[in-house]
Amino acid sequence: MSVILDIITAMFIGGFLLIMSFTASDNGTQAFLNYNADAITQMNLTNVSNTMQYDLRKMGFEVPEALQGNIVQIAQPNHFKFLAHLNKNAQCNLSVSGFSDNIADTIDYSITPFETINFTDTSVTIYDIRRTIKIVNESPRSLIIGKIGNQDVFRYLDQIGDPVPIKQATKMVEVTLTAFDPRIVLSPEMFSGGTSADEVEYRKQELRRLLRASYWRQTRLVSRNLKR
Amino acid sequence: MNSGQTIITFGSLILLSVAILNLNKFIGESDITLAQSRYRLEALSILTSRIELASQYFFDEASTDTTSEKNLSDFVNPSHLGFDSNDDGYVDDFDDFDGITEPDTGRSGVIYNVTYNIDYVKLVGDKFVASSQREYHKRMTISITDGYTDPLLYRFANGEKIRDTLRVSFVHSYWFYN
Repeated sequence: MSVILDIITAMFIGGFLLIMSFTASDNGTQAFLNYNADAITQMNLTNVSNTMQYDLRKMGFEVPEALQGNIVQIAQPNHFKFLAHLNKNAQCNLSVSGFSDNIADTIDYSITPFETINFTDTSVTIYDIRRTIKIVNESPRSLIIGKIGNQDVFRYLDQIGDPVPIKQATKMVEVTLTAFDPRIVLSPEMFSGGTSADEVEYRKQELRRLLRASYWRQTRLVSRNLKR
Repeated sequence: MNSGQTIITFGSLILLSVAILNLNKFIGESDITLAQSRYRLEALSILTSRIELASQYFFDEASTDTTSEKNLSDFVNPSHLGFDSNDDGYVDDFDDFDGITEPDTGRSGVIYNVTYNIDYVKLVGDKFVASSQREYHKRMTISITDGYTDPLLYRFANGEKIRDTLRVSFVHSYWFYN
């Protein structure tokens, strides 16, 4: 009888240990995947901001001072187009042929929806950042440089940082990027939870915590290349 | 169950508990590391914005007059960097930033404190070194920390939590076109 009792006790303890180790392993894997997604998001955000910094530094480059008011061509929260002379002379390191001219070129950034991911009672939309370079007499070259979580990326400001009513008055452009990876691993409770207001609120908060957004906010001067 | 089996059972329980505690600790540390790098990234973006904004100002109060070339003697004395008497608290040249500390925040809502320091520098070999004389180059050092009593950006030194500071320097030089 005592042997049977021993076996039952051992099975109970063994089962308990097994459940503990499965739960620990599951939580560990979920955390690892989410942290990995966070790290990748941060690296991607750095790459996107580097590219934008590289381009925006050229804003107004070699554009005649008389055209200062035309440097900003399109000034919308999700669409920014500006002038920069990219092929002034043969030293310009561009992979296009026969390209030297005296006409300013354009760089265009547009933010367009990429996909909306549904999390039961809430959804998240992520956006593409499309960068298009148009060199005069060449075909436009377009590339998606990254994915972000905010549609309104650009703000157009005057010298003291207030929003401007017309694009010609723009002295500074502020770029704000929010990046996160929506492909996070969620616990089953996140999907199978109830529908009361408290539970919905809890899920939203939990989702916000898990999405782990990274942020970038940078200001660039439009007239930097026109300073005398 | 004899006493040997009981000891082995308890031993395995302790081992498992230690392993789970270590896993939790690792997860917690990873969370903090990633959160810190996230806020460092944002702080860095604010720093680069500040550099961009500061670089638009005139080199010196004297060079706000752009009609003639200025000499070293025209520039502000190294001991009087900061606001000039006629500035009324408004920045109108590069060295006015000296000693200013102001809060800033990004989209995360974290409050950062940005501090400026200016000094004259000269080129010695291939490096800029601080100078106690007037020079044609001024260096701005911008430091950023979080503004919380219990630091958000920190590192450990000798077992104590030390507030971390991100710091970037850049040199602004005087030039004049005839």
